[in-house]
Amino acid sequence: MSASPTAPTSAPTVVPARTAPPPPDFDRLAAIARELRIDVLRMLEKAASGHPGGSLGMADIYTTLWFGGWLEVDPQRPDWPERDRFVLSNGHICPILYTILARKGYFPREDLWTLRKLGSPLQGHPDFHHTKGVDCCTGSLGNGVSVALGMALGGRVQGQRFRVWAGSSDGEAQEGQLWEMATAAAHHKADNLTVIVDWNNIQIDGFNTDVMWVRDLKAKWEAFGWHAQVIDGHDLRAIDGAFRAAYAVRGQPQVILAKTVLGTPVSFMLNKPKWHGQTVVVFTSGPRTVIGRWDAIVGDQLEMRDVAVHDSGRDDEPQAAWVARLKQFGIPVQHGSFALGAAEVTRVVRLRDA
Amino acid sequence: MSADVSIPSTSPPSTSGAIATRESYGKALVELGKERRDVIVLDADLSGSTKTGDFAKAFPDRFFNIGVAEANMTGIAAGLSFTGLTVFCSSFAMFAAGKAYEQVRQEVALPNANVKICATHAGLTVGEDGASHQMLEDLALMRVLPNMRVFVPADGRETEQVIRAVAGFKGPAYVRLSRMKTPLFIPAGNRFEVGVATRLRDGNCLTLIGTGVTSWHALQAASLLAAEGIEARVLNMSTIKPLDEAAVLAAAEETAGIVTVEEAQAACGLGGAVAEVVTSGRPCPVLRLGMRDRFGESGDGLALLEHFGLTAPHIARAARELLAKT
Repeated sequence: MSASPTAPTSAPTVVPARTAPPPPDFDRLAAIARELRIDVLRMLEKAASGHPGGSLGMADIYTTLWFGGWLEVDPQRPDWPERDRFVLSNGHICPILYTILARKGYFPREDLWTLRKLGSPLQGHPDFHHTKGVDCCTGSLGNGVSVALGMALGGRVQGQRFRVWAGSSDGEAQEGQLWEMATAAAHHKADNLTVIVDWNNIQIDGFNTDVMWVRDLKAKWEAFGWHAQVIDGHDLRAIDGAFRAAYAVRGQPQVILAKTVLGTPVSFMLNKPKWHGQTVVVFTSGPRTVIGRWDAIVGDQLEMRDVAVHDSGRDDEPQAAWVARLKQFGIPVQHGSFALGAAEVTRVVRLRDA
Repeated sequence: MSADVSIPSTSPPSTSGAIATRESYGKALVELGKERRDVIVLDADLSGSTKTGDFAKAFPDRFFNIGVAEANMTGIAAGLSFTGLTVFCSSFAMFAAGKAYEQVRQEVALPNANVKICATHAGLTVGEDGASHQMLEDLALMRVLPNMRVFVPADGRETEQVIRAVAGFKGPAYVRLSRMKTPLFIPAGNRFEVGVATRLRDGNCLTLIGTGVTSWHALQAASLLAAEGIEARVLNMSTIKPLDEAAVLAAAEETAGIVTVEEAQAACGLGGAVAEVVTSGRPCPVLRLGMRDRFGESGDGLALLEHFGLTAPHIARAARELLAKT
């Protein structure tokens, strides 16, 4: 906004809201979510560090947000002033955001494989200095939600109609600052702000209920003056419906509490706290993918555990290359059928107890 | 280069119209608000004390009271700035710099946000509220943050200029303001520039460097020393970062040594910054006056400065000690 000596002293406070998008193609969204999940796993395999669990768990939500017509952005104009904002306050699950931004066209998909490496545009936590499409710097829990509220108020002060979406989590609900934000957003009636909470009951040290139970989040957010919904975070129709309901709310910020299962759909990650910040190893060759946890290098052998083998179904495909690769690392070859990125896992091979 | 305002070393500066820098801050904000619609102000339930209340009255739609929640306020300030606004946010220095330090680092300094943290009631001279409210570490904390520029205006007139200056650049600023009234002793003709020290008095025996209210006491000390035939150069270092290295190095080159005075921890603030410059540029004795690794206590602001050795007689004594060693 430029300086103007004759500017009025008050800004418009009533801003026409954006209209909700038409219902999305849910089959298409499901396919995108599956592909994003596979890219998340591949990214983390190459990075050899990072957070797979929440990234996989929130894939359905964020696919719906970004590809279901809800987030109004223009990858050709990342700095478009009236774009909707997205602030990933639990910034550690940025792998899912990066796969989305690549698919949206903010940067080439090849950049995904540079995650967390020196010189990469993809930092370990979101940083808008490095990554097109990222709207601020997050990673320290509690901070991003306040920034999101500031953006929402900034839009209103300037008479702009953009909406601000923030990603949060039940772990972040242990940060006092989240509740400072919740108090202020309701007080200032920031109805252009929607917070999505990943309620998977898992944080680094274990289950949320064991480490520091945050109790009934819906009752808490409502007590703070928010419009609150609880949904199944893997039900695309429920997610879309929740966004639609949030869009219609006036005079009140909205929270969507998404019950998710960490690690979905990788069977051995499901609901396992250790997968909050453990990384995976993925070998691919032809139609086959072997996925597992990098354990240790003993001598010249790579030891893995929690190994699953994904077979895309083309049993006639030559398997010599990936079998040789696995043998090279001293991994017994196990045959399993693992529909990577879909909901079912028919077989998981454990090489060693975790 | 320091701005030489050419004060004859024999004539005392005007002491009329004593005013706290926080008062001038409030007035400057209102003036800025009249000129620029992009200026937004936040406070955390201290708008009466920080004087942002003046702006709130004039421009209620561009003022947000965030309540007693400084961490949240800092994040909100950053978010507002990311939508193109110029954001001033205020609280007492203890909370703006201390309680919200992590948010200042992560959401203001790291993103290079256009947020101006104007922290009032800083330093020892907040006085009666005591140690819990005497922020002595803010200069050290803020100075080490990349992107952050740090200012301590010395009097009311300079405060107005500093506020205008920080509004004039994009990026973070920390402005340290005080509750204690100080005379308008920076000459009216002086023009504040970011990163430029003001030479309040010429002299080549040694150099006294103050910042904020201590610049006034350094100037008084120079008068005491002049009566003994010691001509002290006095610099008002109202920009702590970026420091006027040229002025410091010139002092190191042209005078016997430097005495720094701040109502803050003697470590890592003004004195630390000056010492860093001279040790790598032109080594000379540097005597740092400030709090010696301890907390303050309740009392009248001036009495506290006296008690902890930061008034003119103490500064003059330190100057004599420094000269005796050289």
